[in-house]
Amino acid sequence: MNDNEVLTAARDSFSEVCMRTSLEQTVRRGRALRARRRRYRAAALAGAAALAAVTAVTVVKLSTPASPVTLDAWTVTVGPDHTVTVTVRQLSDAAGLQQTLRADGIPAQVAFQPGTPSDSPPLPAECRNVAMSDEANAELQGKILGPPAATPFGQGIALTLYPRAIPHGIGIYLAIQSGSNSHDWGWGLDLVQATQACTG
Amino acid sequence: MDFADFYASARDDCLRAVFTSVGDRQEAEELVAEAFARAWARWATVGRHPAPRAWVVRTALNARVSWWRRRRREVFVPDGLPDGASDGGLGSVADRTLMAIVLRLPERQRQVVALRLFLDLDTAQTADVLGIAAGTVTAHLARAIAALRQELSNGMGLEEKI
Repeated sequence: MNDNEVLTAARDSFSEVCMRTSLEQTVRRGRALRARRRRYRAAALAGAAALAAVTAVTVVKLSTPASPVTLDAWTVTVGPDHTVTVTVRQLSDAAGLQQTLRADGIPAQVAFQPGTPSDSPPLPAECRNVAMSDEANAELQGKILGPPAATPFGQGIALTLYPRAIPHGIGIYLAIQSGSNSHDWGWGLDLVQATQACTG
Repeated sequence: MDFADFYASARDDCLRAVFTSVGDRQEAEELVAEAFARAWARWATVGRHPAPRAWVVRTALNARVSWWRRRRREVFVPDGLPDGASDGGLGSVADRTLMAIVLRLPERQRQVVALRLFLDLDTAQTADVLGIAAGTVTAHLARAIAALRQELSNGMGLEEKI
């Protein structure tokens, strides 16, 4: 037997070894991980350095009557199913993004944090976490924030929020970070108590 | 490729690679499941990785599995035949015998073989994943193939070893 035949025979002997863990279980666990880590994760976006040079205003086609808020730095659009899509290209004007989200019915605190993405950034002093289990937190976050989406080259970070999934009394703390080398981006979502001081 | 497509296409090969490396079917399942969950949680990054399967396998092998691991263990017996009954069927007797032979290889040889067999990594990629020199990969692979060939050429006297 030649080498390939040996390896093929060895490989074939494992053909009945298959994963039992379902996609749903994996996704559920992934959500729990994100909740435990406050959803911080790095998203390597090559070419981020070029983002600073972006000057053209993005044109967003909407199929809804809602008007998009579009800046060089970020865009907020509201979809026909009341989903809110946030695209961030530059860490600029967090207060404006926060105000826009609140105007769209999302009790939110927004922070832009240049620097290396962290798994456990502190909450703002005026915000308090909600009291619930990791699993419940993960499940609710999974309803509020859509699955992570890879954004096109040079387009920054795109997040989809489902405002109708946010229970009364709960708000979100959304933090966007870019790495110190401007090549890595990360974002995090925390569930916080909706208070005037924290989420408006 | 979205995560669901990746999971459907890669999960079994990743499991087989990790199973071959660690020699424990249940542990491999847990490690790979955890690695895929981590991949999902950072799919924006992993989805762009040049070899996402290798990322999953490396993450699984490096994982420090904590609370998510089930306490109950179904320990695979690497020195003997895989228990087909406990796994819902692991193929023919010959397959299970050959699998057992693979699992009896020294650990590093198993790791090299696993990456070659199930992820189709070349020597340089295998060296990168395992953090060893390319020449070491070549040597381990050659020894592993020689050992397997020896067992195979001993006849499908394999059944006699059952």
